Amino acid sequence: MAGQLSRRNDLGLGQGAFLRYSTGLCLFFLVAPLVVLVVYSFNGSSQVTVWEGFSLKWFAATISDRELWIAIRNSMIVAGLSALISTALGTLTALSLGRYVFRGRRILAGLLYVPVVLPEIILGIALLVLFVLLDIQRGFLTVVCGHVTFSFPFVGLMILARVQTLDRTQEEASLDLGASPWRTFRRVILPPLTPALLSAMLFAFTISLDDFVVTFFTTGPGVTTLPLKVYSLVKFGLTPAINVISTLMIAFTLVVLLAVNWMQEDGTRQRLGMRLGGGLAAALVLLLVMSVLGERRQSRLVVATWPNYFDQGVLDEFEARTGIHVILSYFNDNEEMLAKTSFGKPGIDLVTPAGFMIEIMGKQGLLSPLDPDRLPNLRYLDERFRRLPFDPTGRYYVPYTYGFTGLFYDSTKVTEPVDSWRLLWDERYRGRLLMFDDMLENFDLAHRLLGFRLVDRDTAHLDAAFALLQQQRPLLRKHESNLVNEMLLGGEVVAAQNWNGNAMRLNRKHPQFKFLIPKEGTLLFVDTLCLLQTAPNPAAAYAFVNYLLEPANAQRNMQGILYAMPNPEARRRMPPELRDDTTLFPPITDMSQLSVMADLGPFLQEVRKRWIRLKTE
Amino acid sequence: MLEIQGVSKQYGSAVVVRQVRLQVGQGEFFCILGPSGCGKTTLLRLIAGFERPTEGRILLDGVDITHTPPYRRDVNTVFQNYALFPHCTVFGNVAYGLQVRRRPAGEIRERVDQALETVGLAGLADRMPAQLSGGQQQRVALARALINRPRILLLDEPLSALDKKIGEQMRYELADLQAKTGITFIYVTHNQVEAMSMAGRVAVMNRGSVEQCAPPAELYRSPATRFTADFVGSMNFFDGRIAEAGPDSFGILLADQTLVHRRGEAGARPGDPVVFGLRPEQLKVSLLEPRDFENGLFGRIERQVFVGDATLLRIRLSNGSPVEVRVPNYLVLENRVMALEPDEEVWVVWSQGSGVVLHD
Repeated sequence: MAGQLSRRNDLGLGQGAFLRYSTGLCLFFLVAPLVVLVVYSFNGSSQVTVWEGFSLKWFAATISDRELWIAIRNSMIVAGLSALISTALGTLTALSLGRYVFRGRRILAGLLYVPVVLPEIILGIALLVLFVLLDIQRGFLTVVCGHVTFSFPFVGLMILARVQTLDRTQEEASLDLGASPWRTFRRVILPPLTPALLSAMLFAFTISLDDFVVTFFTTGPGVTTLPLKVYSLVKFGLTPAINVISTLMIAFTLVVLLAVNWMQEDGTRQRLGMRLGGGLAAALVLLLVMSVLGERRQSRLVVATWPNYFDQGVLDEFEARTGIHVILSYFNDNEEMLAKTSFGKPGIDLVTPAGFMIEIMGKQGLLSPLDPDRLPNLRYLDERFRRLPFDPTGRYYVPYTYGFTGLFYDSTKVTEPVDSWRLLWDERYRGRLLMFDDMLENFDLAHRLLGFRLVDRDTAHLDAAFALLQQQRPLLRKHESNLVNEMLLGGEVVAAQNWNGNAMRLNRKHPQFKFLIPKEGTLLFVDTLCLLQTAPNPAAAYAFVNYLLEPANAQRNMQGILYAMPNPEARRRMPPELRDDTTLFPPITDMSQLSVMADLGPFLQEVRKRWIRLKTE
Repeated sequence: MLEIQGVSKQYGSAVVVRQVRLQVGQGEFFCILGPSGCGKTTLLRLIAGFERPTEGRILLDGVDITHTPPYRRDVNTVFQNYALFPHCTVFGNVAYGLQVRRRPAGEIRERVDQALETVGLAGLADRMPAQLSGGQQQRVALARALINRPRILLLDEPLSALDKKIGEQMRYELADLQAKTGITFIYVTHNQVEAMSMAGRVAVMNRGSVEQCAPPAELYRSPATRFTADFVGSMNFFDGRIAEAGPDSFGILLADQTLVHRRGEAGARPGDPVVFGLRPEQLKVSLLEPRDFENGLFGRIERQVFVGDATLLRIRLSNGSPVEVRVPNYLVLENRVMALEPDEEVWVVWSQGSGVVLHD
């Protein structure tokens, strides 16, 4: 029997050895990544790829992560709603295409394939532009609309296939027996469509659940879906939490699959399962909608900023004191922040751009002038920071933090004495060096090494700097701004550019990582708090800024994020070892240093051209 | 009760139903007969309300229902493919009409049981349509259409998908059912045997028009048009003209100059062109020349086709045209005639009392 079977399957490939191996290979491709994920979700280490022994601590951490649950909830709502809407819309489309003869029917049928074959990123951009033109604030509504746009054609095509097999005389029979058209639809057309409808709905739910691209373009702050959350976890702090999330999702999928399988065994189970599943889904939807509505009633403040730039305790207390829920939305660099905020209604109240951005954003009319009367705590600020050259009137910004970029390295691996940025060009550490993923930080450093200044706007200097960076390119692990600590800790890199606060955070726990200002000098920065012209909730923004300026809060915030703030009273209250730390509080002798990164005007285009070449070549 | 007044239906430039006038009375078994494509199904759909006429009116009990949607017409249909709801049980199918009328559950159960009993399907209420034979599905469709006790039941070729035997049996059952319920049946078919065996009156349709509307026997005996004569039963046609007209008989001069006689009134003047029709069973073959009261044409047997109860002879007349003669086989079985040989030359004879004269 076995011999017969194998003979039948034999493609002249021997007695199945080849087939056995290729089957094994398929299995390996399918299962291997999942196995690794699941195993590493039980890792005790805080590094994703370093095994430190079995532990459930990341499960505990993940399950108690409120933001993650909010992301899951958002995903469920978006997927559920868009599945429902696209099923309804898709069914109507299928019925009108299958049943109704009208002009342009073939064109519509053809158009249905557009979102199916169109690259998703184009659809995402198209939707973004549309929402900007319609002046709609990006959020739940826009995400659901976007998901419906790409999922309903799938639904339509799936149901159309079924509609075309329907027997038309059955509808006539129903009408003939006295049923109205609506009743005919419900009792005669819908029942045979139901299996197709359900599988189409499930499909729409699935593609909505794991959609990243369209969500990325259409979402606003505060509507983070699970894929976006996972992406930001990868981008702004890789921890084994990702493995845990994946393991949980695999388990969830498995349970659903098994349940569906079990249901298909016989009719009673199916009915039971449908009822149970339907009830559960309805209860879930109710809960979700209630929780969203409950949250909606709460006042929200959306702050676009860098990771780890506000102390959670300070935020929690603000929420407790005012009832305003602060939502943080993270950006990679100033350029990305500009791009996101300059488009339509991004739904963001406050941003924390570097000072030099204020000139650019101010020129584009993105910023709203601040009313000093509504910010009485401005009096605690160091006057020297109030009217910096990028905004001599001081109307558009409140200084938030200041700091500098330094050289950060692992002293267990780089054992020779270090005093120069040249370490980042050292052949011996090829592939283990890291530069910021930030255009100006890169070019400023290169100019500095050559003895030039970026602010001179000299094309010859720029070309020399560019050549230097090109020369460095093959030595780099990558350009990265937000995972510097993680990559150093994980041993992927041995030296990197880093900001003082960030470096201090790692250095306090792991003293083997050394931070210094190389002899060529460095770049100082001031980050600011700015109110966007399109801010949905300016009142909350004023309350928040004023709250941050209060010395007690500023002190707590500084200690949390380890960046200096120009708030002398707050500094005075800090413990002496921090108060007098020169890494935290760089001695500023000349205020003009702080504006070193001024708006470069048209020269910026020249820099950008070379930056893009550097990154893409 | 049902009045169709000058109804036409056009699709684009194609006229499918042309100026149809019909009246169907209460309790009648009315049949619409015609070849495929003659517009009979369209006419039925106009009555059911699935189509709106391009012109004309349809009245039910004196009320104009031309523009009433199908679900407000007291008319039900048995579809050619039955159109049972595949996701409903037999009970669900039959009960549908009552459920949409929101009758109480008890009444529904009772009436469905009764309807299933009537069509001989008691006990099959819980089956799904796919588990039934064609004949059983047919009965379910009937029960479903009758459950609302409509003023008119429309049947669209309901027996065409059944085996011959079952179809024949169903004919009697349908006729019985109609008699028992007293509901007006309008039955569409292309099968003249079905039409003749069940209907009280038959309307023959051709290319969208009604050619003749009469009881089956009359239709057969005196067809009004060549089409009817040909479609209902079969007929040999001869072109000719009236040659002489007497008070109780007249002569027809056929195209080949043979003069044949017919008793009765001519109803036309000498010289008028006519078509003379003879049914195959009215003809006999004989080796002898026709007698006084007979007409006769000479020809040669070309082919014999045995059909069981009779033998069909195809005879090529001396003038070149073919004629079909139907010889009942009981004569052969009883040895009362000798067997005919192929190629034998014979006389085709008929009584002067036979034959239809069509003034075309």
